[in-house]
Amino acid sequence: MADDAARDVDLDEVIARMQARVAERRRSGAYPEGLESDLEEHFRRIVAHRASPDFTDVRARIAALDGRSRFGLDRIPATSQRPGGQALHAAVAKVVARQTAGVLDQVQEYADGVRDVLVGIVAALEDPEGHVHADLVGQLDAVLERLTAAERRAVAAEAALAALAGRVEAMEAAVPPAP
Amino acid sequence: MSRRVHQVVVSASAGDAVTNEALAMRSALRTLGAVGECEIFARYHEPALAGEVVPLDEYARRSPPTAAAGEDVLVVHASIGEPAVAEFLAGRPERIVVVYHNISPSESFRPYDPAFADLLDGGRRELAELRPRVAMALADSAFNAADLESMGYHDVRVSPLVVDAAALTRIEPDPGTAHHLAEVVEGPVLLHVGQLLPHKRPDLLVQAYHVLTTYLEPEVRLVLVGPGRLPRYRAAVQHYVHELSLPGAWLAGPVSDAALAAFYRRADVFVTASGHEGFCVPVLEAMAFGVPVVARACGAIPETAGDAALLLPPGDDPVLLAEALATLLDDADLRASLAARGRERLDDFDPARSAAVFLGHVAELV
Repeated sequence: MADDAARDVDLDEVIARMQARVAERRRSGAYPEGLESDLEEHFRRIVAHRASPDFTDVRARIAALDGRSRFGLDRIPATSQRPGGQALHAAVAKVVARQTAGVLDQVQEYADGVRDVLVGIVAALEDPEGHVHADLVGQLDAVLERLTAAERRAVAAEAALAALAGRVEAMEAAVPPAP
Repeated sequence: MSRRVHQVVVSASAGDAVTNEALAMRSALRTLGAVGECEIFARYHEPALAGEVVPLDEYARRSPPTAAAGEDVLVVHASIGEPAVAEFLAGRPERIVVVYHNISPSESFRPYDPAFADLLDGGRRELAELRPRVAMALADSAFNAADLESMGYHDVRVSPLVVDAAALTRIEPDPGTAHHLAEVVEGPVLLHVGQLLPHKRPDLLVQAYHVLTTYLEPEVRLVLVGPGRLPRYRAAVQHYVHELSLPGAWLAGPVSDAALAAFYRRADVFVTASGHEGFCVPVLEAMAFGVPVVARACGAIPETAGDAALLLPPGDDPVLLAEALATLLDDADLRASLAARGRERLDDFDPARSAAVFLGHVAELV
């Protein structure tokens, strides 16, 4: 299409035609009454009852925990302000290294277990679909949707019948009276 | 003597409109003789942008104070609140230029993420408090300028977004996405590009799509491309699509530029039901690809789209939106007309011209 031809299209007029068509379809029952409010209400119900809580922050905190949960002998400082203190600390650390390592292993084991439990709790909470009440509400909405669709079909059929009856009447009126 | 003109953004991420503009502005500033150093400092940034932006807490080291620091300029991109940035700005001697990209209204976010809604409110407060220190205020649309003036600013100048909306057209489309769209996705495709956020009203778009496929055109696909930064809201939209039984609606999430190019190439119509936009870059991107645009006349969209889009009244009317989509899918001449107008409209946002406007403003200060 040439640019001049592109300019020939009056967009205001296009929109006015669309608005008229919507009004006509509403009048004829092609768009059932309450269509928009039904849809809006459905979304509101979802927002109010079924949207999952956000655990992004909790997950980030658990991830941050990972960086701090490695226990080791190398992270125990042996520095000292006193003369000869550092050598003394190093010597003591060497003497009790076996016992310290044993304690650290137990702490590590416990920390890993706690972390796994936290991850499991978040995973369980993040899955509201597994909660029986959420399922029930979802099923209820699905039934309501089907009911609404069935009602819309009935309205459409009624409108089509009315249109058909109108056309039959018009045809009858157009038939010339018998001589 | 050359002046330092650094930029400050709260968050820098690849593909983000504000980040893209800051990068484009930096390139433009580097052509200005009076400008010496010019870097982009970000409070937060994606690792992928480490070579492009500098962490804000390195500002003092990278740009040490000088006797003439009061003559230097800080260009601050405002789109959300961040107390650390506000505190940083309060202690700086440089002259401040605010570039306002719009701070989304918080009320639509509050039910989904109160903390994020607080950040938005905080952003408005911080911007109002910064006003006495601001040497120049710029906004990328008249809509944004009016919004900034409502926060007490005067003489806000409109400086069009420096964006190369046609850049995507020069990218090779992602072969996998292009193949999927060509071979698997059947029928006309309606494309929406933008973050899945409440004020952009993807829920209204889903309603319109439901009306379209139930009453008017059953064989149409809807693709929503863009990140869902509020998981709770994204989940609600996903539930909605599922419960309305709309298998033709696809929430594609965030995609690469190459994949986005493939989506634009496959799209028959670009549609947005957004109720609040400070500019709306995807409208121009769609025009660059020759894709006709349908939108509601909300926020800055009428300014951006001009007379090159089918702009519906701003009310929440999914039925009219569905009717508009059906009309456009059915009318090849109308599609061609809008595509031709879109290409013309794109010329009004030539990035070189927009950059020149911005440099003209900055030149007054350096």
